Amino acid sequence: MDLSFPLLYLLIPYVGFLLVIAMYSVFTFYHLVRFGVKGPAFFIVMGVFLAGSLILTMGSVASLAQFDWTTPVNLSSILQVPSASNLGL
Amino acid sequence: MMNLKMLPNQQPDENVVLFLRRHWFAWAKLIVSFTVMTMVPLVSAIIFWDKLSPWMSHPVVGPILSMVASIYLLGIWLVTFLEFTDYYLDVWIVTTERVMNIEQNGLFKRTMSEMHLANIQDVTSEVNGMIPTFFKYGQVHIQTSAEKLRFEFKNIANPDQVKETIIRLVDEDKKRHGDIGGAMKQAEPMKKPA
Repeated sequence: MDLSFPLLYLLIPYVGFLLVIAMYSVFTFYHLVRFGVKGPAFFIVMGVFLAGSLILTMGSVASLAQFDWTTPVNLSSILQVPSASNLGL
Repeated sequence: MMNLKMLPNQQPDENVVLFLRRHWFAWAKLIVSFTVMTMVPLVSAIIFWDKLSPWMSHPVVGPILSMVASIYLLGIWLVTFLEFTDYYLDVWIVTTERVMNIEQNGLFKRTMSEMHLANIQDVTSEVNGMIPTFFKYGQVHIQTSAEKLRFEFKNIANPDQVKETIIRLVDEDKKRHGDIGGAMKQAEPMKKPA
């Protein structure tokens, strides 16, 4: 039996992870804005946080975009169980 | 956003004397951890690129490796920043009237408490260990007249100076408002040691 699926399916957990990252980033941003102490350090912290998050997310998406995600993944080739004949029995 | 010139319930003649966060060593550890956890896999990938490149050009393994690396880096960034937020939002403020203790525990727990200087009975500074002694940071414990209430300034720079400043402010506050605590102490009979 030939079981295969497009590589694209593997992006589902990745997108889920990005959503978690986005959710926590929003909470962090909110806390910093709501409870942070007004001053120059505050704006530096916010700038580093926003710039770092943006650069890493865009870099991550750009590095993944160069692959062909329509490539089929053949399950039988991944889950190859050694048969008795393969073991020479 | 908190403004040090406009604290909640601030009195007209109240001024901020000390604004304290944990010692820089606390977030330096965080930066070092972030750097090590980022650089070790990156440098390893560069060193062993000859062995890694065939896997990266594989149509199935390449995208998976790239995705795992992305998740790893984003995860480290997020955890580091969550820890930094925890550090950044832990604040102790000493004014000419009161002590404020603001602590952030994770993202969803925040404790804000304050006490008037008149309620302070004992201030203790503590530097414990080789690294805290070298970098001059430690704890300051503030005991109030209520038996169980105790403020703790954790890992702050120059705890001895902070202790001295608080004691001075308490004395000044007593002079301004009258020594109620001292009068109460004098009224209590002295106990002889056994």
